[in-house]
Amino acid sequence: MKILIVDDSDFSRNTMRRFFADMTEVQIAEAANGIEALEQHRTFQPDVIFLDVTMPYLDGAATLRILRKIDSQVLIIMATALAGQQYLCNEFIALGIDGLLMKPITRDVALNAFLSAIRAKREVTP
Amino acid sequence: MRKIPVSDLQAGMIPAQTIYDSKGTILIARGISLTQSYINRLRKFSIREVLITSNDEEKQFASIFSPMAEKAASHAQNLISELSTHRTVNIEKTSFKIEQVIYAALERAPLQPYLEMMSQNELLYTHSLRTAILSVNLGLAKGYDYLNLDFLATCALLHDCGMGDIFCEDDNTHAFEGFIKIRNNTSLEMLTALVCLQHHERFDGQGTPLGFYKYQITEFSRLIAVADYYERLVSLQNNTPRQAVFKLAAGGGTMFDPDMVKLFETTLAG
Repeated sequence: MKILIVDDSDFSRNTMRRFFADMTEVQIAEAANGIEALEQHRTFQPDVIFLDVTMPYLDGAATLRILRKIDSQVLIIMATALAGQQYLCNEFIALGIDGLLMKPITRDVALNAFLSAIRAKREVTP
Repeated sequence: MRKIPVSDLQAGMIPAQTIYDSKGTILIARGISLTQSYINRLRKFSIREVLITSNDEEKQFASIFSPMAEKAASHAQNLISELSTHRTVNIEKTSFKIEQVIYAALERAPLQPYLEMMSQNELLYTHSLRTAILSVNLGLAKGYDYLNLDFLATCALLHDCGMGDIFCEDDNTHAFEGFIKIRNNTSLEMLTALVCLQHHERFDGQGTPLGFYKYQITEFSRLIAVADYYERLVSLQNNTPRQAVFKLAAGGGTMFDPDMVKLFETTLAG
């Protein structure tokens, strides 16, 4: 299982990486903005993407649009820090996200979102 | 190949490598035949020696890139002269730097198949080169360093590579097709693909294909959109350069990033 963590904050990426540290079957890659995320999507070909909303150069909302246009299979879990961004939720859901996390994210919340997204996908595609 | 001191250089010799100044700006691109003014320029920048191609075989190998890039480079040179006769965009002072940046971009190996494809379609070919020239001119006005200019030129050259056999800017699918085409080529950067995708997006979010708005559109895409639109108005829709400038200014804030329109206005002559 390949996970891509997209966040412009080193701290957030490291924290998220630690959540999955004891899962030996998981490979992790990181990206600091939307353009890097698209690059990693092309080369690393992740199964799950944790995508932050506010980022420089290309933000999470724009990255999500592009990713969904080119790949309907990859699981995308959005992570947002600002409660004010909740208005974006409808747009995200319409575009087809597989989970939504409010920061700060705890280990339990991250793992739950990750596992439910995978489970939901397995139920749809046996 | 042999090293020759700058004092012994003669017009007509061909450098085997691109020569940069200490800031990374290209002084002379590899494969460009030296002229007396180029030699004076090298002296001015205190360059001591230049690696020169020595025989025909090496010349062929080291001189101008591929035949395709050579053709594009000479076409670009004509287009720069032609643009300077319009006397609308102030291009005379920057023409040397523009030439060097465009030549260096044309030299990139991953671009060669695209140049070949575009050269089959005269309108697309000329439009892409002209857009690249105008974009680099804007990039110089914005104060980009050489690396960014090189990148910008590559993006501008390829921005319409999703176009099929028929050149039609109203065809809404070419932006996405171009994106996919470049994305599938791992030797090209993702930003180039993104510029392809976003060059018909509008600043107010009413553009195509995905309706991005404001700063969701990358800076290069916002800059190239301005150069692309001006170029289309003048060469494809038969507007005079003056009419094109007015139309472009009217689109600031809706179609285009107002800062990019202001930047374009700073490059106007007079």
